[in-house]
Amino acid sequence: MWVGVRKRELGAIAHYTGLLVASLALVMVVPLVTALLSAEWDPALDYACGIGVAAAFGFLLAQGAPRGAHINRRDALIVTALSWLAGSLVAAVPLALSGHYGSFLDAFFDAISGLTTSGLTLVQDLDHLASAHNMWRHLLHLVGGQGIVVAALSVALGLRGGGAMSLYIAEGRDERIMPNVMNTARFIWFVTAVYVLAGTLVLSVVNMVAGMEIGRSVLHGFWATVACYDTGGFGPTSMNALYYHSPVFEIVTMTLMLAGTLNFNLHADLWRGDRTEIFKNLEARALAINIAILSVAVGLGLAVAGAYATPAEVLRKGLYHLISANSGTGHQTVYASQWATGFGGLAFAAIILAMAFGGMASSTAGGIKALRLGLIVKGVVLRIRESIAPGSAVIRSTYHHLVDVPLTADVLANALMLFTLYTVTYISGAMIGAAYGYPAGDALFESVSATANVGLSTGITAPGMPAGLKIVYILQMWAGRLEFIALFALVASVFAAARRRRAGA
Amino acid sequence: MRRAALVLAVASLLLVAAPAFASGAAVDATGPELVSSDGALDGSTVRFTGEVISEPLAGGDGHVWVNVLADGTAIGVWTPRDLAEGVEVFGRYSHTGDVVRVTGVLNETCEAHGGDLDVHAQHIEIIKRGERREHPADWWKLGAGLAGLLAAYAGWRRMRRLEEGSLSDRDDPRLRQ
Repeated sequence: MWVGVRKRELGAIAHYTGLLVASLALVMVVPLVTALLSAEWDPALDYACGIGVAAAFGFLLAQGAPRGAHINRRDALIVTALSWLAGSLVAAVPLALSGHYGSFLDAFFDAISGLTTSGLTLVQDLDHLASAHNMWRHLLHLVGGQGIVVAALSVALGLRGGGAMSLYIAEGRDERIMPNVMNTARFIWFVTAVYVLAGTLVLSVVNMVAGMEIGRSVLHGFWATVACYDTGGFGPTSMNALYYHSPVFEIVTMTLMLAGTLNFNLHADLWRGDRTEIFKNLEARALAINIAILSVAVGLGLAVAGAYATPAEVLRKGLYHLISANSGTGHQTVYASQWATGFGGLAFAAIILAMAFGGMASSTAGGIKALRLGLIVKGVVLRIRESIAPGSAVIRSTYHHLVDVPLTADVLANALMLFTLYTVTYISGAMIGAAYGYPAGDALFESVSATANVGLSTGITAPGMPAGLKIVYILQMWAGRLEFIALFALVASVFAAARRRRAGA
Repeated sequence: MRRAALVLAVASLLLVAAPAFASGAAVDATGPELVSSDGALDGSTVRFTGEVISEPLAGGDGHVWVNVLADGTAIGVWTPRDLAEGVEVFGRYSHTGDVVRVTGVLNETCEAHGGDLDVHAQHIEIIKRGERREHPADWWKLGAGLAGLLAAYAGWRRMRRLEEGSLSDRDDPRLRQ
């Protein structure tokens, strides 16, 4: 039975959505300060306006119910789906005012791409974009990577009480590292702060040694760190990672990408000094095997295509883009046009698969996720064992993910359902791209990149692309980040409400 | 006499055509053409014009990297340090960078630089000096922001009043029954 949302529940949904949107006004203070420190007066006004719009919109919505209003699991899913959309709308305001976007739709595209840590961009003349706007684009990665709910929980923005845990889970997270959800959110930010500080420090030094002035070194270091650790993929220049011409930069950013794709539970274990979990965890093993197999495929593909003359080049280009794809980051050191011509069929296909599979669950990575792939493989093995065992034998299977867990039909069905949803979305987006006249391979690459929140691009994503395709990619990025269920809950509730209204009329 | 005239004509032709032959060694190309030639220009001497968008970055072996934005596509140019000494302004929010004409060898997958697509410069000519970019401030944005903050404050106050009202209602013994 479809149960629609009642008026009181609608108020609570608006209230929490409003609070989450208003929290973005607080985050916009950072680019405002960046603009003031950099003497970028007009961008400072963009953020003054953005803060006003976000705060007004947020607090107007928050009128719907008093603080601490109870919300159930279904409503939490709707709040999550709506707040990512409404958050992107207000986040787009300063970007649209920057004059670097062809339309509000383009700015909205970048905002949702930033928040979902996708990294596909429609910005124009990026090389002359203000530091304040670059700061905002990368902060969107930071907030979206950890989760809007996690960000709001960390500052205890009126989310205490009934709905906090429901909202937290609805955002596509299931780790309970600490006994209390608020402390879990703070732990996630603590881990993030350690990586961001370390990454920024190292990359700032790398940039300074290369000849950049101190201020730019630190800003570029921070942006690259956030883009890699949060597996986002934005860059402050149109050349992306190629701008730096530095193998050291590539090694550091690859390390950050791998750290970003690690489940926060594993971060917690490593933090506590327990290194055994990472070796026996099904998800970590599945990701390692996935990267190993696809690395061989990319290497073979590049060698067969004769794209690069030496094994060192194959290793550098192949591994960087494979890690970038598998982690869902999207940093690239090749030009968009080189994917189709330089990489050859096998390496191109392996990169698409790496994007589609993605990193670990409960990390900042997107895609199907290594845990689900591991479970599906285990399910296949279990089925084979059952089919060859004597009829009277009872075959059971377990897997290790933080604790030993029996492989049940429910667990397997859930993994298969999400695998199917991602695959259908990948293919649907590709077919729409192909219908717009793009080559099928490029359309599939771009569709997978959008849905799995990666950001690698064959060049389809550009300001001149059809508006319809921009909307399709926006929906794919949104659905992929929320792992579909929150989006479906929203759509189902809207339909149920419409049916109830029709029945009442 | 006729032969002398012919020799003179051929000599004149060669004299006129010489620069053309010399420049014929360098293919004029746009940025997008350089990155999508699919092997056609690989290893060729190319010439392109664009805006410098990076300070000279260490390139090793007495060289530096200068990134040049040509027709919307930025190319990494690996150049001897002395060739890049004339570059003073690089493009960013506050400045338009020096416009340079670069002549050099295009490597679609440079063996010396990990397979990157780059141009090894032989000559860099400054076409136009970079300049400060003007960004006039639109003050209406501040007005809109302040109006938004005022609306947010009003909303927040109303929310607080509603909360206090509902709390005092709960404390009211008549309403508890």
